[in-house]
Amino acid sequence: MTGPSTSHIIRLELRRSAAAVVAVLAFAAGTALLLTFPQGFAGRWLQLAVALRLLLMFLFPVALAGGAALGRREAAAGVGELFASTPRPRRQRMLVTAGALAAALVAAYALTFLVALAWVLPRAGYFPLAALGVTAVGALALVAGGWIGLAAGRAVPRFVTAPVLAVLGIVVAGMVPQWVMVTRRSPAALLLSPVYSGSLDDFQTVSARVSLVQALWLAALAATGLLLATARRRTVAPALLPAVLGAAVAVPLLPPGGYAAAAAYDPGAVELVCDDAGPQVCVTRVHAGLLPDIAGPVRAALATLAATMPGAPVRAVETRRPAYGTGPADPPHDAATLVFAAPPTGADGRADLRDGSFPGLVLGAAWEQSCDPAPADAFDGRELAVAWLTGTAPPDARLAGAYAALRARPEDEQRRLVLAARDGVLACRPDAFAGLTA
Amino acid sequence: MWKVHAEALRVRAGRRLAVDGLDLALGPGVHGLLGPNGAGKTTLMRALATVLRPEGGRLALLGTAVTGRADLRAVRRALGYLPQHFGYYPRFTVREFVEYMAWLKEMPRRDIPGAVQRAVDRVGLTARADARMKTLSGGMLRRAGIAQAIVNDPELLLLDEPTVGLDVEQRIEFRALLRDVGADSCVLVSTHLVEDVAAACTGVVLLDEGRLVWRGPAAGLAERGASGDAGDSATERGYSALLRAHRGQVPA
Repeated sequence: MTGPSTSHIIRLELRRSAAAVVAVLAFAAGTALLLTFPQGFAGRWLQLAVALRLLLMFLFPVALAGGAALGRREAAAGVGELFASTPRPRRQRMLVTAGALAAALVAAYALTFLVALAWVLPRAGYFPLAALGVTAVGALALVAGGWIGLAAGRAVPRFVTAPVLAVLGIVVAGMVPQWVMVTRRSPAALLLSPVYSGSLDDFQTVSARVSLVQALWLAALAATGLLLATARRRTVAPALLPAVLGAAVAVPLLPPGGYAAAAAYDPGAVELVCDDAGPQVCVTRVHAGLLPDIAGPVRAALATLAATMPGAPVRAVETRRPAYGTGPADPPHDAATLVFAAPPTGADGRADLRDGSFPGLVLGAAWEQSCDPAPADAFDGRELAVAWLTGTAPPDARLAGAYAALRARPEDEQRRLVLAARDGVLACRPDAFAGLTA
Repeated sequence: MWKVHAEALRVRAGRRLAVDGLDLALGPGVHGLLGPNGAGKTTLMRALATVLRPEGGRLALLGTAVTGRADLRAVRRALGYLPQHFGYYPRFTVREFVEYMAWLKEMPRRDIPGAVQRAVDRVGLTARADARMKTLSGGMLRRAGIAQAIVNDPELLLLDEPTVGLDVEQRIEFRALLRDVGADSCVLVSTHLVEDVAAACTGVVLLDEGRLVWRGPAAGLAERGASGDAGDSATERGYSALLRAHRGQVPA
């Protein structure tokens, strides 16, 4: 058997080559950066996958530079003449090096993902398969970057190649897409960048089509990197073919509008999970981890409403309208239901209630309805209604006069105006708050 | 069958024709390759190591013609080569680097661990087998280079300045190793150290300006010198005499 112990040599490369250093760097940088904003993904799988893709702004250049360092290794070590006298083709030698680099980069990415799972798993109530797709595309991007770097390092085996590539990577993968987004309508080609630019609402997902096309493009780019890393001079042009073809196929299949257009409403994320141990409180599945923290404050708000006015809501349901981005509006609800927005997620995956605004926001939701257009002065009207309910002046000083005027009326008149405003909102009347804010 | 057979061999080193019309046939044994700087020794070694393609003439290694677009893999599997400037991966241990070279030489997988240990033992690096290459002294690095060259028990072993950095004791041990390897294989040792040739080689090839000056038994080299020739030993005087004769200064 003249069989190479390839797996053994890959392990040797992993132990002794720059691949291991690159992996440690990518893991350390990725984990450190990721854990500076755990509230961005705590308790949510897809947000973790997207956060990692955002980090590619730094990890992709690390992969490029690491690949370049590995690519210049033979020239730097002066082993070219010795290796040229051996029978194993250079292609096989480079494949093993490329394999070790890819394994190291994927391991670093996966390990970063696994570490961050400590912030996701305890509170995650919804696992979308898209999270795996988005993560896999990120890992593929790192491999492509590593192999392009490998080819560049072999072609230009200078010390400066790695840092220059790192800077180029930051500019091309991170800064240019941001600049394009700001200065003009985002073209479809923007999605060729593996760096997730923008943000994704908890109720959104990255469409499978976009992830698939990105995977196709990045696989083509990786193939070009690998072919260039093993190419002889006459095969350089054919080596570029996969990347050129990949881009030509991918761009028409990607939506214009950048990552905002790549986001799609996720019906699975907005399925309701309810707590029936008292007045029913329901949240979306993606926010199921918040339910134990918010059920109490929400029920307290329902109790306050019930104690103050007739026809108060008896159940509360989280809104399924994305806070930003596109998505369907909530269907109109009846008077018995209160539709509220969940509080932000904290670094530990629990509801972040520290600013104390959540109870007031839930109370104010009793004066909300899915209307298009919304009634005039809806924000001010809600503040006045909540202030009246709680007996505290509204925090917005602009409303001090209106609040004083409301309080100056006879008690029955006050109640009548507040209830009329609620009836008006639930019926989507444009002047629903006129009686409160006049 | 000759292990090395060159006819009118021409090899370029950059723009210079460093080997110019060389005829050479070598069989088993240890052959010393001598010559002044610029004689074409290293270029010849590179051509024999299949690193440089000959410009012209014919070259057959181990019975296979290596000119033109010949498939060199079979020949290379039976080659051992220590270049003049031995490059290595500094983070690898000695054992790992020799193992890596064995893999590059497409040795059978099951043979590699034993062959690596044997090669490391033969060059006296057993105690440093698991030391990183970057921690080795110059002499140890040279021995590691020899270990990688002999790991596949090559039929043709090419050593370019193998004794640089070795102390006297190590050189004596190295000569014994050469004699051992040369019993079955063809060993070509390029060196400036004429006494190494006298002590370890069965034959001598003397080059100057890319051409063969003289070829014969090592003992015959000593017989070519006279008391008036430059050199501290009979072998060195023979070397000087042959070169001067070739350059037309004094008839040998």
